Amino acid sequence: MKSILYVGITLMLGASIYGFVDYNQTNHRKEFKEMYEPAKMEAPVVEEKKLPVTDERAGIMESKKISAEIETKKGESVAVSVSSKEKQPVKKTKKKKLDYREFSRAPLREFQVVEMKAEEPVKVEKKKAEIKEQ
Amino acid sequence: MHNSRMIILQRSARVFFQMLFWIPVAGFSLLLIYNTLPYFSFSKDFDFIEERSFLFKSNFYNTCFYIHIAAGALCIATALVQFSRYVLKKTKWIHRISGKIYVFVVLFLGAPTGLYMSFFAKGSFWERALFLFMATWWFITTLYGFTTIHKKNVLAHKIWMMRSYAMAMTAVTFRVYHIIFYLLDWDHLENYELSLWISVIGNMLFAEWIIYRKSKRYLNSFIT
Repeated sequence: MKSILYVGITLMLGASIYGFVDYNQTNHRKEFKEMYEPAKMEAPVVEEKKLPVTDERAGIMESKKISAEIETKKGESVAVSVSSKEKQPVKKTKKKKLDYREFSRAPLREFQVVEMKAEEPVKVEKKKAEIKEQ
Repeated sequence: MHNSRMIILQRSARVFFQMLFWIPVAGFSLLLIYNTLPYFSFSKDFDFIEERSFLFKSNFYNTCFYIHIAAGALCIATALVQFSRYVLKKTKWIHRISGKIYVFVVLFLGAPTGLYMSFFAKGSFWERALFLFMATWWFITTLYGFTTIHKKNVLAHKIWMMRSYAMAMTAVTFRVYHIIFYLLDWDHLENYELSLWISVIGNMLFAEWIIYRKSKRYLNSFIT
């Protein structure tokens, strides 16, 4: 009983003395000071190059609705209208993924997820068949 | 008839609240143990180790770390069965053996290695001081819990062991708070420090509250 007590106390005293001495030795080292500092990660700078807009291109961009007629097998013509937006913005969001492995003392990671918006489906409007009289 | 119904209702409510407490405690404890196991591949490819790569160059720190995590997992596992009334009544030998393992692991392995590692802990001077306090208080409470049962003082043994278990469980509650504050968009270092303080103080207060409630019932038994 007493031996357990003495061994335990000796271990605790030893750990505290050795820890204190060891800490004083490493305390002023640069690696130790910078150890817990968050890693400075700079986001890569992506230069957005603007393409020269020609008149033709501008014309396409401006037109928001493109309509076309497609002939079907039956001879019916189907009017197709495509609504396009000038720019589809790419959303960058920081998603917090939680995993059972995150249940630790380690710093929790943030995942940067680039969310791409799916293009809107092409609207197909069926119009009554118009028989073309030639 | 009415009385027996009330008694059944009270008992089932008590069981329900006990389950509400013990199921998350057991679940998170087992998750902590499960997450500790991969470290014994002795790979350095863990965020925790990578962050402290400078410290892990030291063989002594390395040894202390692996002893500490093994001790932590073992004492959390053994402590899970210690508060079960069923185990205490029906299979007392399990309580005795796992109790001896818990005491041995805390006094000789967990607390001394934790004390050494606390000098190099993350955070400011105060967080290191808190880690020092945790290791020392864990040692003292376990030692008292052990000596009191040797003197056949069961009540004091229960109280000190509750305090010891509260300290052991700071490892679990810290992780829970850490994740909650992370989801609340707290900065990592602030999150770490706050989770640490709340887990230690919160666990201590919770243990004292349970002890107070139990002692109140015990003291009331003298009156009635």
